Amino acid sequence: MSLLVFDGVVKTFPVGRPGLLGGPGRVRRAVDEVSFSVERGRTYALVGESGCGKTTVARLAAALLRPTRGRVVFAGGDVGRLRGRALAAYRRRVQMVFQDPAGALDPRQRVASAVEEPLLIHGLGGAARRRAEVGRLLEVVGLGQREGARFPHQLSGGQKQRVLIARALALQPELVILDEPVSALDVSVRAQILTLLTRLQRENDLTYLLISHDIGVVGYSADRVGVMHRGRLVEEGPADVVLSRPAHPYTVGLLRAVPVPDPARRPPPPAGPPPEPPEPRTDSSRACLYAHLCPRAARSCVRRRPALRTVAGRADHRASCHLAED
Amino acid sequence: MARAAGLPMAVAGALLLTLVALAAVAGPWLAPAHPDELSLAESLRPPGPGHPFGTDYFGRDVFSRVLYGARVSLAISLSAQLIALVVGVALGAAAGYFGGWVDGAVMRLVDVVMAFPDLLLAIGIAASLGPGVPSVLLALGLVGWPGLCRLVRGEVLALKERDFIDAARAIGAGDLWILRRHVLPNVAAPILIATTLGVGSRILQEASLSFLGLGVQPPAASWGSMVHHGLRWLSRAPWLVIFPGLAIAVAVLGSNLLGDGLRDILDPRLRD
Amino acid sequence: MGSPLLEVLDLRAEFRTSRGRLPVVDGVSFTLDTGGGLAIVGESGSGKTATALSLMRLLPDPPGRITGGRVLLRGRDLLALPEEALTAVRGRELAMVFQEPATALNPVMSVGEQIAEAVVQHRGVARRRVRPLVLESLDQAGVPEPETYLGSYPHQLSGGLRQRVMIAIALACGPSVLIADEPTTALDVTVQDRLLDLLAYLRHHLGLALLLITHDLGVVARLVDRVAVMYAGQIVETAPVAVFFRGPAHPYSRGLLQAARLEAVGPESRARRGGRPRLEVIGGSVPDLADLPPGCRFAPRCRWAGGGGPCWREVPGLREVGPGHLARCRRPGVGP
Repeated sequence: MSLLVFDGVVKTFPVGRPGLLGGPGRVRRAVDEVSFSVERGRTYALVGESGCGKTTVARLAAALLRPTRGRVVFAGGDVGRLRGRALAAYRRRVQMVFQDPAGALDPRQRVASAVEEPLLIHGLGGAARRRAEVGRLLEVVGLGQREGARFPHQLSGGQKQRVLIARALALQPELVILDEPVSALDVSVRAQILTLLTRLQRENDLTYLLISHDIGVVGYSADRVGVMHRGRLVEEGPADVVLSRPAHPYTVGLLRAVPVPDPARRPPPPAGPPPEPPEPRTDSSRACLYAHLCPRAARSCVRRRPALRTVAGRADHRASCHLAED
Repeated sequence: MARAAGLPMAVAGALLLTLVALAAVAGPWLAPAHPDELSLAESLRPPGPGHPFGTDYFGRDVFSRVLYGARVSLAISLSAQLIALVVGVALGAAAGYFGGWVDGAVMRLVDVVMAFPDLLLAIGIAASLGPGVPSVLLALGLVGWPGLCRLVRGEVLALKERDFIDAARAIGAGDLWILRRHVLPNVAAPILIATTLGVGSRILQEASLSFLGLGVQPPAASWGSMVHHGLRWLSRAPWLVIFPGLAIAVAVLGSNLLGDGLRDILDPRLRD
Repeated sequence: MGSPLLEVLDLRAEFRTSRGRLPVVDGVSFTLDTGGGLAIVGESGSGKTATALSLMRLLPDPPGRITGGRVLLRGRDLLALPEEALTAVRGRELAMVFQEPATALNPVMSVGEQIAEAVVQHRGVARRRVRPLVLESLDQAGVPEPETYLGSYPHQLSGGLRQRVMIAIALACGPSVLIADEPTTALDVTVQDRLLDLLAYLRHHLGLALLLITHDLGVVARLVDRVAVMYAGQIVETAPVAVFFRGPAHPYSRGLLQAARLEAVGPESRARRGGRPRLEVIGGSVPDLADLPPGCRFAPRCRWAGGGGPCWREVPGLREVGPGHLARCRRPGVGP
């Protein structure tokens, strides 16, 4: 059953100042007609490059933003309509782990107090029970009493991220949104955090919405993958299929661009300086947003923007590319 | 570097202020005479063994009056600064945190108040309310809040962009909770610094108002009113102006040193 | 071949902090031949960037201070040169490309002016002959239609283009060594991919020696011939890339390589494994330079160190474990 569903979600932000007389200013579509659903107990990964809108999707799912159009549905209810008490209840069931663990912790709050805070806000348990629960949560993420008494700046990056994970688990949520959970961490620490997240998912029957620019992290963690490009979902399907037989040329390029740690597979040096491709055009045109970069672009790609459709012969795999449709 | 210089500055400032506070608290025990006790026979005595700071026209002991004046001056300037603090922090935090029309309204008000020179505004308010302690309090409080308000708004605006504020929202914290638990503790240091520095300004302004005859009324004495009344005798009895003037200088210097010292110690940009 | 182009011998630098003197660069030695490529790999706090800055004598002082060693460029010791002579070497012989092009470029100078400035300063060319050189370096850096960008300001350019302008400035002086400090870390993978191609081109067609500072073993495999892994201020392993990627000898290097293979879980490895790959984990985190363990600096995180054995007591030296392959480990190559 789907726990979280995005249904034609659009989110626009104003660009620059609004008109002098309060008239409508220009807007930028950060998220453009995005639809996907996240199954209970699974990991859905959104992958894409900077500015593709994946972080905006995360913030929409966490109800930190409201959609301009379309619906975000959680366990059957419309998240965009939640107010007051219902919103607080939603926030018990959905938690977020932020990209930069240093920034997501209040510098003046001790670790134990940060982990206790959600329990306090939602009025769960007396002081003694809360203290016991904080101890348990810290232990679950591999921290001890010693770390609990510290301030964030006294911890390493990996430890800070563990604190944030403990804090997210405090309310026993159903959905955890992981916004680039390891990209600020050192390589050797990333593996620790990823295995921790996998273990916690298994033990607590958690659903993950993972946001990442890192194909390796997505490949390790995801059951299902959505690829975003300039605000749109351009490809979507089971992780094994999307990562091994991508249908959209953008996904193909993205996967190919990841440097392989094997010198035997080093590509030959190019004969001339490889040029930086042109800047993307504004989205006012009707062309496919990837057409100017696409090695396979045909005339139809410039005339008509493709919609997200089922890839020929694969029921569970969708891509927005004319060339993948048939 | 700056941090190292901060500590001795703060300590020096704190010592000066302690001196002033001691004078205010222990005044009745330290004072050789009652401040209002008249003794026309002793009129305008220069500083000497019986009267370390001399006497005024009515023969009142200036040392005793300076000690008692410390009470009045400190009480008024601290209370006025407290008013400024409460108003400034509340409005500044609201403006920065909520933004939109709240911010617009608060900041326009700040602009209007700040368009007048501080002292002129204080004189205007105090004069229209009539002389006396309550009107001085109100006048100084109203003059003091916009600076704090601007400071707090700026700090809150910067904090609002930090992830941990969103992180608190994501665990279900409400606006008041976030303001109380995450915003205010993080702006406490700059507020403390500005408040300490502000006390110095308040002491000066109180002295100025009293000097103009708008503050405490005789026979009660504040340092400003002592300077005011002593001015007539400046050529014959300069001690009437010098000692209360020195007291003002010591108190203002103390609060400025403490404020600047705290700034150097607490400023996170100077850390590590 | 004769003597190498750049030879670093027992370089030492420290940071003086309130917590004591931190040995950020602790006896680092390596060589770089003309047209060669060496990568210094490490995590945050490993000393890789401090090494690069020290050999350019750009380590911020205070708190940094170079305390020993030699940096020989064509046999001349840069650490012994007077400051004026060094200025001529920086840029002219050694050029540096930084991680964050947005902050390394001057925001109020146009692209053309910034490159021209470098050319005039270092090559002593007459003003009227500058323009063709500027255009040539932009072209070599892969900036399409360079004329159109001469008047542009850094904020008008994408991250990828800004990084190319940085490279054009570096190239404008005709250096023999390019030091690139995490040149692609701030970039998206597709942009990084093109920039790596560009660096490979510059190495092979212009004969530029490349000293790459990075944490990414995928980038290492793509660009250089030799790798040196740094940990807590020291080189813990150095080897030709082919040897290193086949079998790193130091347990830390092995952990890094496994983590990197995870990063590169690409299409086929995912399909081959039929689901989630297994992940080897190095526990713990990088040691505090103010509180280093007495023996091997990696011992507290090492599965093979044993409890309280010699690894915990004695600092291991760099030992040869194969041709051109050195490792700072008492038990090199144990484990999987």
